[in-house]
Amino acid sequence: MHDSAGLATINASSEVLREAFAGSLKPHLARLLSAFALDVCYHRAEGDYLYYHGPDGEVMVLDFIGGFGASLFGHNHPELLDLARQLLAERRPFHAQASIRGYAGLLAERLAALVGRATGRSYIVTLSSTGAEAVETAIKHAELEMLRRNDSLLEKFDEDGRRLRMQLREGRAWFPQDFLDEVSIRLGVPVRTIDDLLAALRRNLEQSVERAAVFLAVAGSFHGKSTGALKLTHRLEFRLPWRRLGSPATFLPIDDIAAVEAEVERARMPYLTLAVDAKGLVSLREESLVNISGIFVEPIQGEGGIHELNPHFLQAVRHFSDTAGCPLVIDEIQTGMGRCGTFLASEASGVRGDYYLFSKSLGGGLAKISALLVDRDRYDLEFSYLHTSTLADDDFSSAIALRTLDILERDEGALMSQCREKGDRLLERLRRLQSCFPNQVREVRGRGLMLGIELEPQTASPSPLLRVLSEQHLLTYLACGYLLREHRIRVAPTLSKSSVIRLEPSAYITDDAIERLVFSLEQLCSLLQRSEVGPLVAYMADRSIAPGACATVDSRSVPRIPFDPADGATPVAFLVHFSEPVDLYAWEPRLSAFSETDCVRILDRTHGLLRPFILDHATMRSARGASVKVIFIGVPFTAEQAVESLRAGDDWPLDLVREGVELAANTGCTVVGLGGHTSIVSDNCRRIVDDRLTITSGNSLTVAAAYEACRLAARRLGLDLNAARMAVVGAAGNVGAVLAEIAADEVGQILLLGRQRAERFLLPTAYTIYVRALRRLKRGERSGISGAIAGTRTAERLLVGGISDAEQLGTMLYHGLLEELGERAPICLATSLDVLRTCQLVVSATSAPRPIILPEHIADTPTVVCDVAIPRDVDPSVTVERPNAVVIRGGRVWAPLGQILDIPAMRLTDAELYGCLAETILLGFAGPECPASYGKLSPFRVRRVRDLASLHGFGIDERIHP
Amino acid sequence: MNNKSMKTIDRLRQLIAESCEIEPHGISETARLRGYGIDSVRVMDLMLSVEEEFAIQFRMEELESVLTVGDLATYVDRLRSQRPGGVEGSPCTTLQD
Repeated sequence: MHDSAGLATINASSEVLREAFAGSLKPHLARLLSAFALDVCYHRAEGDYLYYHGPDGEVMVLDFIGGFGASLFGHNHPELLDLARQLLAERRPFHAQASIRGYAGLLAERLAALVGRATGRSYIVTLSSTGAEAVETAIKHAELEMLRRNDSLLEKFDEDGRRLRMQLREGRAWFPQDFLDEVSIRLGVPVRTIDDLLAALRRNLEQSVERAAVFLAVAGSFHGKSTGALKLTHRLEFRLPWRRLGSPATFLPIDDIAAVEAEVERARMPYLTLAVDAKGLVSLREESLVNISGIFVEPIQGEGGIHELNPHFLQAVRHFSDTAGCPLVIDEIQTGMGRCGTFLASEASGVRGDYYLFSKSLGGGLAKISALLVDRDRYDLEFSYLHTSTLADDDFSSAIALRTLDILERDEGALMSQCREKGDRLLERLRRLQSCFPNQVREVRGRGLMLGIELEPQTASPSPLLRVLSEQHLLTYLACGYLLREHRIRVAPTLSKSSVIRLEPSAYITDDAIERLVFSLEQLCSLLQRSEVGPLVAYMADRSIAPGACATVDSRSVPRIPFDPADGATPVAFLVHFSEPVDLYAWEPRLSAFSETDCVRILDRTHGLLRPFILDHATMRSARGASVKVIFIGVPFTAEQAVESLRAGDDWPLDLVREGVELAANTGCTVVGLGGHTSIVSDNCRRIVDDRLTITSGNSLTVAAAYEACRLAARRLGLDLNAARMAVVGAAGNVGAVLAEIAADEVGQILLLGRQRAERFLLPTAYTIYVRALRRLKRGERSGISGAIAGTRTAERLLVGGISDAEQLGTMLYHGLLEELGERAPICLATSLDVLRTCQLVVSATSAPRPIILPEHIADTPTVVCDVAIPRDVDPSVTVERPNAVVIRGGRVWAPLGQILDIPAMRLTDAELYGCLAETILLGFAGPECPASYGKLSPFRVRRVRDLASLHGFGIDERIHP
Repeated sequence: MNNKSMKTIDRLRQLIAESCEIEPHGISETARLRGYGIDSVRVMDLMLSVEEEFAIQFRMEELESVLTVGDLATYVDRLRSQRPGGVEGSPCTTLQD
């Protein structure tokens, strides 16, 4: 009887499966796969094909990944399936440990015979379940051999010592004059007797013997990721996190024969022994041992990028293994089983290994099995007692492997010859491809059906997207996604070197399938050659675009000129992100065929994968002669993604911002401005702590520009600021409070608006304004609030009084003036928007999610309404229903000397700059004398920035709504 | 988190949802307040609502280290327990910061 839960598992939908995989198994991989539309769930496999359910039915995919070499016999080989069914029907035991495992024995015999046919040697086999396990087993056996060798040395020493004692006692041996003294000096310990001598020499030998184990492997190697095998796997990214575990291996530069000899000599440990000549004279003899436990090689490095080792190099490794006395381990896990044309790929070099490793296709694509063959002369009989495995040696996997070998050997190894022929054919076609596309295909390599095509990075492409993808090693992933979705061909990049695509089909691959692959690669190369990004990337927007369908190249998108860091301009960086998805094609015009929905889809897929990159650069001069080079760094996220991530408690946009800052610092920038949401996700820069450069959100100049725009608009309306009344809506917030304080120097009456209970946030601003006004009044500066309080009793009294504490002074001014003037006090607090009707100036900076200022709040008379809130505070109907109101959205800043910044991705017009960008440039002009905007804004800094901006020639004007 | 804190967080979710005009159930405990426009630079309308709702008073300097919705809930509970008479019905908790 089958329970319903079991049926549910088998019949689970792709969605359920995908969620389970991403949620509980491999979250990161799931994201990487999904980014490039590789997140497919296959439900069936046969021969060289895998099947998944697409939206329009079952999709048949031609598989060139081939289980990373494990599917040499194709998926679900019919004969092997039949055998599997038979074995199950027979109810063969899976678990019969501690008994005679018949099929395992037969398999061992057969494997030994197959290898022996090539090498002339005989072997003892240890079986396990995975390739990495076989490597671990090899490491263990090699180290055991080393232990035995060392133990023999010690035993021999002891025996020689006993013999010498007897000889001395019987007068058949003697020490030369001063012998013991010389030995004392040589060994650095007092040696007076035979006991001393033997003890000291034994310690000397022990020192050479008891060292950390050393294994040699080859740079670019891959032997597995389990903790032991990992030591022999070259790629640092995989190895480094576990550097504390075990002893590090030494990696030989590939094909470097001199290095092999050098490493063997480096591992040579000297020690001293005693010799007795024919006359009985005792002398010291120098000996050495080589502390290398084993040398591991792959005849063709698979994960390392399909690199065949030079036969001379292999011969050298063989020679020096003999010198060292350690085993040479030939890892044929991927190369063996006939994939390269012969049972052992290493046969071609004529080099014989001491150990051989097999796995992957040994299981026929159905069973998980691996094997270590150890030369019989080296095999340690105790090993099978010391090293065991519960799951190894089962009938099922052994029988499958045996039949797999049968299939391989049939017709005098016809299948192996087939691998060679098909492989040669494919290689030849790929070479032809390379000659047609020399700038897209760097090299084609391999032997038999273990081939690799190395794509040339497109870092000189006119397409910025292709350039950036290439620079960030993502181009090959893009290509794999394209091949799967557009051509239904499955390939994967190697894990180690991301620009190589490995091709490892089954031995039964048809000529048609080969042609199909080559055709699709031609299409790919052709698109890369023409930088036709649209068709290449369309699949990421779940659509398809035919080649040649897109508009021709925008003349502005030429490869950017690398900037000269030594041209005297101060480098500053400005981080930008994609504000709206359509900014994607402001940056990459070749994506113009994509809709906004498409752009959203692409940006969602790739979020967090694309790292910050240099967009462009421009030089700007100030009116004072200073020169700045602005480097624009694109940070790939949209405003919406930023807000979403904040709400999810996910820091990926912040991590990207940090990387952007790092890039700025590494490019030599002294200032970095965080534009748009790059400052929001970093909490107005405060979450970036870096002392190498000045970090700014640019908000000070933005606020200064807003106020200036207000001022200019007021002047144009003929308003006298000293007599005007200004309302600051959202005065409890930083921006509102700062604007109120700045305005107070010019505006005669200010209403601070906040909600009920917000008084305690509004009062400190009121106090500060009054105190400054009093100080200005003392200096004779009468304008704005200082002008308004001049002549009042409160002000007069406090002008002479000696109160120095600012808060106390502020409190007294505020309450005194309120009492004296009531509603006409220069600063009043208010809670209702109705008071706006009595104001000629309105500034709004709240965080309300929708507009709060409506036409009924604004008077019919000339009024300036400055809206600096995001999203806007002022309803669009105000512009319609109050024609006498001038509604502005902050101020525009104009570059000094009319200079124009022509950066497509910035979507600026004429000489306009964003306030934050202008402040960044200003910091470059002015250096340390200009304050940056980090965290909260202060009126002092805003004033200072405004003054410096003016000095350096920046212009400010109003930006009219909408 | 104990039951009282759970209630606090739900009430906060409601306030944030009202303030931003979104659904409360989408607001996670680990969400950064900045994602709802609540940061050091913008007007703290929400802060006032929270103060009103829980009858507490924030100290501006302490708000600097309140980054997530969860942090806010913890802070609110701390202020509530520090009120004379403590939080209604619950013992004063020992607080680590």
